Amino acid sequence: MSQVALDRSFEERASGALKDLPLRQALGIATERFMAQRMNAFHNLPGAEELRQRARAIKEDVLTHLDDYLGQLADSVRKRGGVVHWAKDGAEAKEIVLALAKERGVKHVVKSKSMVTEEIELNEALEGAGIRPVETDLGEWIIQLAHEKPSHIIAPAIHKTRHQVAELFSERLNKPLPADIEVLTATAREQLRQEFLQADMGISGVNFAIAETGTLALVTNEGNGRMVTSLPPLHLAIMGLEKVIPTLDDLMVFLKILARSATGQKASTYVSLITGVRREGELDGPKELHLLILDNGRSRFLSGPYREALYCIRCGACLNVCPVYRQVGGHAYGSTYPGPIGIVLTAMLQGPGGSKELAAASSLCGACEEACPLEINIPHMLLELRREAVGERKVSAGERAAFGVMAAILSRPRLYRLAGLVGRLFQWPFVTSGRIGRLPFPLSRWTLNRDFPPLSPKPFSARWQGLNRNGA
Amino acid sequence: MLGTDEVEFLRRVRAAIGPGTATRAGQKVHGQEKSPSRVAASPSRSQLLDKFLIELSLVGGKGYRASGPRQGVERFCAVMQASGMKRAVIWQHPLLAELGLYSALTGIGLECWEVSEEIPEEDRMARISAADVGITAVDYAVAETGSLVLCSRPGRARMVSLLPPVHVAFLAPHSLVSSLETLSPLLGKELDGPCGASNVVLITGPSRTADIELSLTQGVHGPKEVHVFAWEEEMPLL
Amino acid sequence: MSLTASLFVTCLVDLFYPEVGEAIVKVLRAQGVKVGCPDGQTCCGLPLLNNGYHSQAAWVARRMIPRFEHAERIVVPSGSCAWMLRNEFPRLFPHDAATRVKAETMSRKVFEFSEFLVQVVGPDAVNASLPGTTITYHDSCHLLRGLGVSEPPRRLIRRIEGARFVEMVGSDRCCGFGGSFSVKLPEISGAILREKMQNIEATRADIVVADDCGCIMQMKGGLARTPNGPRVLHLAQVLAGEGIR
Repeated sequence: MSQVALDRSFEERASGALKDLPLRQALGIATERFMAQRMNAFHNLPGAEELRQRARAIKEDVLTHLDDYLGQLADSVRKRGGVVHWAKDGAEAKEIVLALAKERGVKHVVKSKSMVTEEIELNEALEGAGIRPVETDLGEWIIQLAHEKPSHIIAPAIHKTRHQVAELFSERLNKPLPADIEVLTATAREQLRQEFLQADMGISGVNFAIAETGTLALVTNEGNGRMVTSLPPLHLAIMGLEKVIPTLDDLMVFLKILARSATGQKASTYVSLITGVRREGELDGPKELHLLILDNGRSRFLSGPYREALYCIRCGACLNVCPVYRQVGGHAYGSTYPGPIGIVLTAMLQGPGGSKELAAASSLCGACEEACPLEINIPHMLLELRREAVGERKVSAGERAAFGVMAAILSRPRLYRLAGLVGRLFQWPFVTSGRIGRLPFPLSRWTLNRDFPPLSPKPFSARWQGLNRNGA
Repeated sequence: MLGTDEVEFLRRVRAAIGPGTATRAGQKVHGQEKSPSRVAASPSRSQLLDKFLIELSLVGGKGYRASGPRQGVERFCAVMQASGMKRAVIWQHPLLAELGLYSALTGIGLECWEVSEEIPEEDRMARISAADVGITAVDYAVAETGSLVLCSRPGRARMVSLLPPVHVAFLAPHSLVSSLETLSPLLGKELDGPCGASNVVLITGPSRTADIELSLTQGVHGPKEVHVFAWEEEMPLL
Repeated sequence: MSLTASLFVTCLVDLFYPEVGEAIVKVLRAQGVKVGCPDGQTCCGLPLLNNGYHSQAAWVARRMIPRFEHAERIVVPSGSCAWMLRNEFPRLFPHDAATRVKAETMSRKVFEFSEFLVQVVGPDAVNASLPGTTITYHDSCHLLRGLGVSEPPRRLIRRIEGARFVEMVGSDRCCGFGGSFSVKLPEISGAILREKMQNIEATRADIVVADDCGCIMQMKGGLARTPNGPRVLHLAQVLAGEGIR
C-alpha cells in the first residue's frame, strides 16, 4: 500500500506484532543471519569503503543531472526497439499498463519481484481489469497466495514459518504438502513453470537502468526474473526515476555492493542485462519491450534534506540492523517500504500532507546509516521529518504543550531549579524503598515495563559548592 | 497518449533539481579511476582458472579442469553417462561444434536437439523445458565471482541455460577474465550497435532461494545444478 | 602545567544521578585535573532536537554557550550530550552567524568523559581497583556511532585492577532508550531492552557499564525488575572504585 494504513496506528500494529511469537522468532533468525552475512561479505571485500564512496559519487552525479540521464536512457532504449512511457504518479502508471494490456489482449501476466509495483498497487488494478497477475518470486508468490503484503524489502515472506507455508500451499493448491522446504520449493517450481510458458506479458522492476546503452539490469537469484523477461512476447519494465545510472562501468560498482549488502553474496545468481527486443534470428526473448519511468513523489526529494533517500538501492541492510524493525517486522509500518529507509520513502509517497507518524518509530540509534552501503544519513532525515511534523502541527496538542513546557524550563535556569524542587516534592508518594514502580500518565508508559529513577534529594548543582570548596 | 509527455516530465525533474550545477552530465568526476592495487601483475591463465573454479564451487557449481578440450569432452561424456540423463538441448555455437558435442552425446545414447528455428515458436520452449540438461558455451567467465556470461544470439537461446534442471557450460580459455571491471568494456562491445546482444546474463551458480525461513534451497525456477568444463590450453586452429 | 576541565553536568546527572557527577570529579582530580563547573547549567537540549523542536533546542543552546566561553576543555559524562554539543550546536543557528561561531568554538572544546581521560590525560589514566568483579560494557549509540568512541572506555575498564572485562554479544546494539522513544513507544522500547538484558545476563557480569545516563536509566530500570541482576554503573563510578556490593 502506498498510504499508511489509517485504521490503526503504528503503535497498535507494533503491539500486535510484539505478541506474535512465531513472527518474532522468524524475524530474529532472519535478521541475525542477514546481518552476519552482510558483515562477513564486506569484511572480505578489499576496497569496500572506496566502493561505497564511488557509489555515492555516482548517485550524486545522477541526481544532479537526472533529466539529462533520463533523456539519454530513453533515447538508448528506443534505439534498441523499446518504447518508453512516463508516469507522474501511480494512477497514471496504472492507466498506461492497463491500456497496453488491453491493446494487446493480455489476460495473464507473470511478474518478477518489484517493489515499485507494490507501491502503486498494480496487481489490484490488473485484477480489477480481469487480468490475472501471478507473482513468480517464491516469497512474493507465497504472500500473493496469502493475500498479504511483503514484510521485508528483499525477503517478502520472511515472517512465515515452513509450516505456515505448507499449510498455505496445501490449501490453495488443493493437495496436502509436508512442511519440507525442498518439497515446497519444488512445488513452486512446477506450478509456476506453466505460468511462465503461458503468460501474455511479463512485468518486472529494474534494479539499474544504464543511460549509455539503454540496458535494464535485473538482479535476482531464482531465475524467475529471466523467465519473466524472456518468455512472454511482451515485457514491461517499471522503474522509479532514480534508478538510472550513467554507464556499464558504474553498474559494476553497484553490482559489487548490492548482493553483499542484501544477502552477503558476492554476486546474486543472475544479473540480466536487457537491451531492447529480441534481434532477428534469436530463438527467444520478447518481441516488444516497454519501459515505464515513474515519479510518484520522487522528484520532490531532488532538492532538500531528503535527497539522499534517492540513493537507496533497496538492499534491505538497514532493516536487518534496526532495533525497531527487528522487534516488530515489516507489516507494523503499514506501508510498502518498512524499516528505516521505509519511513523516509513513505513520507515521499504520502507527499507534503502526510502524517509522518512513522518518523517516531525510531530510537535514532544510527545503525541504519552505518549498515547502508551508500551511507545514507537516515537518522538526520528522521529528525527533519520530526521537525516538519511539529511545524505542520501534526503532533498532538498535549505533546506540543509538554515540549513547550520543557523548552521553557530548560532555557531558564531558575525555572529549571524550581521544577526540580517541585518534582522532588511531589514524587514522594511514588517512591517505595528508593524505587519508583508506577507513575501517572504520561510516565506510566515508562513504568509499564521499567522502574523509573527517583529525583535525587540533592542534585549535583547543590553538591558542587561543597565539592569545589573541598577539592579544588 | 497516456501518461506524461516526455518533455514535460523531464522539465519537471529539472525544475525539482533546482538552479544550475557546475558540471555537465557525463563529466566523469568519478567512476573511471582505478585503485592503485589494480596495477599489480596480471594473473596467469592458470591462476585465473584456479580462482574461477574455487569461486564456482563456493556458489554451489561444479567445475571440471581438463588438460585440454578433448579431455574435457571425454570427462563430460563420462559424467553424462553416469547421470542417467536422457534428453539434452544444446546451443548452436562454433565451440560446441568444434568439440563435436552433438555426436558425442548421441553416441552415448542421449536424445539431443540443437536449438533452431525449425520448430515452431510455440513448441520451442516446451521442448527446452522437457530436456534434462541444457548445454551452452560461454562468452566470458569472471574469475573473481565464478560467473558465466552468456549473450543471446541466433542459435543461442536464453532458455537453454535456464529451463532444464541441469546447465552444462564449456569454457574456452580465452573467455576467462579476472573481474567485473575487466568484463565491463567487453560487455560494452557486446551491447554496441544494432546487432548488440538483446540479453546478456551473468550466471553465478545454480538457481537459489532462501525465501522460506532463510533456508537455502537450490533449483527454484532455474537449474539445480551448474557444471562447467574448462581447460587451459587453447584449441589448435583447424 | 595542570589540566583543567569544565564539567557540563547534563540534566540527567544533575537531577537523577548526582553521584555520577561526584565520581567524575573524584576521578579527574585523582588524575591531577582541576575541575570547574559553571553555574546555571540546565540541559544540552537534545530531547527538544530529537522531537522536532529545533528552534526551541536553539533557545537552550543559546543559554548554555556563554557559560562555557572561558572553558579550556569541556568534559561531558554522556555520549549523547557530547554529540549534541559537538555536532549539533553549531547547526542550530543557520541564520545567526555570531552565535554559530561561538557554538563552533565551544564544539571544538568538547570531550566525552572517556575521550578526555584517554586522549588528554593519558591512555592509562586509571587508578581503581575492583578485585573479583566481572564487568561488561554497553556502547551507547551516540557515543559509538555519533562520536566514533569505542576503544577508550574499554581501555579504561581493562585497567581496573582485579576486574575482569567481558564483551557482551551485541554491545553495540541500542538499549531501546532513544529519549522520548522510550515513552512514546514503550512496548517496543521494552522489547529492545529485553534483548539487551538477555545479552547482559549471558555475560554473568557483576556490573554493566555505560557512559550515558539515558542508557543507564533504561537498563537499570529493566534490571531492577529482575532478581539478582547485575549493577548498572556509569564508567566514572567504576573508575572511582565503586562497584563492590
